[in-house]
Amino acid sequence: MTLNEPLFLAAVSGGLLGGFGHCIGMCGPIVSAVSLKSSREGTAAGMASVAFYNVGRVLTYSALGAAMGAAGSFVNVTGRLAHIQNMALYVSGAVMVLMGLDIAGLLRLSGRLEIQGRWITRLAGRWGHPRTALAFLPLGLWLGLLPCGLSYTFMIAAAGTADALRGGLVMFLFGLGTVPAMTSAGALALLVGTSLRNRLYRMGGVLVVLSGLYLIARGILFHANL
Amino acid sequence: MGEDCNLHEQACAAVLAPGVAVTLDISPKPVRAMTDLEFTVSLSDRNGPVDGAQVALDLSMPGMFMGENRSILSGLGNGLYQGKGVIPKCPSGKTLWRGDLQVQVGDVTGNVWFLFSVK
Repeated sequence: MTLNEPLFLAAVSGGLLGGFGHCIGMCGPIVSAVSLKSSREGTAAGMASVAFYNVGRVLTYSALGAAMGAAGSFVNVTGRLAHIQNMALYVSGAVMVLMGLDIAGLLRLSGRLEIQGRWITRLAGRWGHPRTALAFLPLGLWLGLLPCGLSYTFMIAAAGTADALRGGLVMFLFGLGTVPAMTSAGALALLVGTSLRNRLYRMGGVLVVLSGLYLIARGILFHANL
Repeated sequence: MGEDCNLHEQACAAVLAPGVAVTLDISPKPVRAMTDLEFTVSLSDRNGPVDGAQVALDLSMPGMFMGENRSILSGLGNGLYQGKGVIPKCPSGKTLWRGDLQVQVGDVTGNVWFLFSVK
């Protein structure tokens, strides 16, 4: 197995192209909310949050790819995951609504989204302001389950490998390919959020709330089609 | 190609090249997303069924980048080719898909496409 196999190259390039052409539309608001939520602790904390969110998301993609490869069937695995994915839409929508309200100054979450397990705390000691940023690792892990047509396509390819390692690698490379677009969306939100903080920061929060409500609506639509 | 044909009910035919006809059938019907599908292509020219072709079906969603979703169809003989695949569901609610059939017979390459909605 070599990384220059056409399937692996297609996965990383598909993630790269799809990241800017597809993922920004669906996940851009989420990653923008992540960076805005942490930006009170500075730009570095905002970008660290985006990085941890991406790590979580790519890890979940990899696990899903490995499961698809091991099962050798996309339909069987997604059939079992459908209700969890539906829940992921609701949860992501609800989280975005809460973060949006927090960003808009209408609700103080003050770290309630953080996961403060011992391992997190230990790891946190090695970073500057890590705890808020690290809170987005489990969020990324969870939101990696969001139903997405583009990621489905690469899961189909992962299942086609009929091999857990290769399937996991396909989805890992796909996820890696989407990181530049997702990071750009987060950075853009930070840029806008910082430069216009005094006037438009709250408006950004309202947009995040609306995006969260949109995700919940999509969850209802997805549920209706299960 | 714009042919008025409903893949949910029947196989759809097209002209691949002058004198070369192709049909695409998808089963089971109606065509649903997120289920295992079987694609069957029949290929014929003025002399009858055409075997020995390389046939692939690329599935894409008009106006939305969905990555490469390609099924390679194997020859069954008598001008028939078959392959398996899955059409993913787009959570946005869009259901329109395009199937691009790529056929190569010897040095001749042809391409036809079919538009269809999935349930």
